[in-house]
Amino acid sequence: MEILRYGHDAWGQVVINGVSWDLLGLAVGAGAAVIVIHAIYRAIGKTSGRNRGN
Amino acid sequence: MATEPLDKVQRHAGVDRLFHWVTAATMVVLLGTSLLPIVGLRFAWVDLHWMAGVLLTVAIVLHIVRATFWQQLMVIVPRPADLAEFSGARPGKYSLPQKLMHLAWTLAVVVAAVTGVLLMIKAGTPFFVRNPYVFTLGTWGYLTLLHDLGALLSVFLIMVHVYFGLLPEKRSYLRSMAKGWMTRAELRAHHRDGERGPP
Repeated sequence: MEILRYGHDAWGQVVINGVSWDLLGLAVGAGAAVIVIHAIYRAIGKTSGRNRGN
Repeated sequence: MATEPLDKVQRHAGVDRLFHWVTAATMVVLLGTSLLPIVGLRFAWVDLHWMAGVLLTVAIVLHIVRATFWQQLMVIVPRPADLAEFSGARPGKYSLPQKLMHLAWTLAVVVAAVTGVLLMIKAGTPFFVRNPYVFTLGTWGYLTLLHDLGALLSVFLIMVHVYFGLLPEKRSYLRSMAKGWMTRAELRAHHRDGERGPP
């Protein structure tokens, strides 16, 4: 996975163009991971809460 | 904080709700116009992008002025005392997670807005005569890098923010951002009385 996008200036030197768009998948994946982990944590909390009530 | 009939407590004033939804709409336009071409949907995105960016920047400036001079700025700033929430203490107007979310949004949006305004010089808009020679190619690259990082952080934050906003137990916050109010019972369930700041 690339981290940065690179280009060249008029003298042929490498310059940074920005962030590699491979990282877009990482941002979406991180968001999805937080959602899934919280949803699991929340579901476990609800289940254990119901069990304590029984 | 104004109290309305039917035990409704105003949490967000109309102007603050307007700011929130203008921010939300412009963020959707900004991320859509910048990221959809990357995933293969080609269209003329530049004009729509900078127009939404200008609207967002104006909204941010007005929000900062209002928060600084008309509201209690410190109610949204995380403090060490907020850690007491881990031992069950109820927060004031904003909980620690809400404060941290606001802090992350501040970082993402301010970085993207400041670099975006500078990048408008390179792109050429009615506000700036196009001049790509103001900065070196390397400096434009670093400005774009920061702009991109702001966008990527925004993608992450939108997903998390929308998820938590739609949870049933957080629905009262969503309603308060739409209609402005919570019931006093909802407020007491999650927050302590007093120190809620102006709406």
